[in-house]
Amino acid sequence: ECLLSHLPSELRFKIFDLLTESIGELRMVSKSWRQLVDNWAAVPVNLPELLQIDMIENEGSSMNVIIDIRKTEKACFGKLRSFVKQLPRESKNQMEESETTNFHQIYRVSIDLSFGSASIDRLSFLISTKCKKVTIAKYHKDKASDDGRHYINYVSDLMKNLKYIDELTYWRHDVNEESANLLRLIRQISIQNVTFSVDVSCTSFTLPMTRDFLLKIRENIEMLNCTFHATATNSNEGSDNVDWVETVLTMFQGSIQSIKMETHYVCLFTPNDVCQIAKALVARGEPFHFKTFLHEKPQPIIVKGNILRKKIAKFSNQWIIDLSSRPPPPRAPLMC
Amino acid sequence: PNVKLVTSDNEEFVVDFRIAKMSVTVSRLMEAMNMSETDDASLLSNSIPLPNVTKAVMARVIEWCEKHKNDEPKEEKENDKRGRTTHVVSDWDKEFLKNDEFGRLCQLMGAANYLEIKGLFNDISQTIANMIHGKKSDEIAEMFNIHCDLTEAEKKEIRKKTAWCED
Repeated sequence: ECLLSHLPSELRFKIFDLLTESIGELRMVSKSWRQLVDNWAAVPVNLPELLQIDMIENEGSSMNVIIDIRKTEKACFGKLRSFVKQLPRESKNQMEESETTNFHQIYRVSIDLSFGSASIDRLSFLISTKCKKVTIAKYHKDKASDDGRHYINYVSDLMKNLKYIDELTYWRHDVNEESANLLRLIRQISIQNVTFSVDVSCTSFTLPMTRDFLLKIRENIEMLNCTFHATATNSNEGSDNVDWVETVLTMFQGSIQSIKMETHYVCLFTPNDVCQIAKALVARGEPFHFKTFLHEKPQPIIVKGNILRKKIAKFSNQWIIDLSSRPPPPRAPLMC
Repeated sequence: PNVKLVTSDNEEFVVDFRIAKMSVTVSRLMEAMNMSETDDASLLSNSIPLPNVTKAVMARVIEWCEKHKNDEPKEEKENDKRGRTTHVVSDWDKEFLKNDEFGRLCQLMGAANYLEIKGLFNDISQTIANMIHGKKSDEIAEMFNIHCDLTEAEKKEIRKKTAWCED
């Protein structure tokens, strides 16, 4: 009927890739065009980038999944729509249209999925392989569900087809043996920026385990933002067991170019430590950005030549230290 | 130095070595046949068969390559790796492609894909996408001379499904 249908599918798919905002109209041209478009949309790698996936563990044995899609591209996700429609009423929290701060009009899907249900696997094939921002959050202590698997296992199941993420936030998790699942997940996805938040007040082993985790996570990400929380008073327990200068320098040997370590609650660095880190990174001659908090007044960092950019600001009774090479790494979140 | 390219309809095109190298497919074939820029004998004694390209299409491809033979190679950006990026078609390229009807554009796109000439392939796909973008379904049908076989009820159902967050 049309030359478009005689094109090899790879060429037709390339054209549809460039027309994600016209997919709704293309489906109404004719029955054969609707079939061509549906064949294209059935392949996750063809689907346009999602704006956001938020996963939050519910108390019990389920998680809430929020998926944000650009309103202009909603017609590309017909199969996702059918999936949501088939879910039991109590699983569908809301489907709404709203404005976001970054000027995209979005459609938001919010659903609850039980751990172990086939819906998690089905959903993994209905989302795109690309997502701007993914958040994996939890508020409760890590506990295996009835089948012996943990929240992060189900998150991994849901994310198994994702290939590209700009920003991954891993929020309020313990670093424990289950973190290996997160590492596996991160290794199979191209991620620019990981924001990692950990409660280090649990045991004296938490900080060494966090160090080990950070050394493993460094391998295939570009930027890391690590916040050390402490909900108990023993927050510095275990910090003496870790050489944080060596840890930071080792982390910069991977693909990471920017590290932000938010240490309001845990004193990890002395002024001398920061000086050592700055001098060692400058000596390597590679682009870097390093930001942290000092609990003592910083000492002068003297480096020859105009090759180190330093910003120091007092924040309450602490000091924010923001150091980078000149020029800094391209996407580093520098302090102004 | 020149390279001989032979199309599916047995037409021989003699092109500059630089132009031949713009096609990844031709480059690979030359390498396999031990044809090198510094070895005139190897270039004279061999020709590259291109069974998937006709004479008329090849002439258009060569015209595009002549114009772009001195272009700087483009760096692959992060978005390119993700496989989705809007390509800006230059004014010369717009002019070059503007009189090609859809059928001819498809043939040219197939040739650019087979020959692996990324710049031409991107120009054509973006040109086709630009022809369709922003148009209503009946305008697209008219543009491609397609009879719409969907009933009003079917269209209504598709519209309803497309507006899926409102139901």
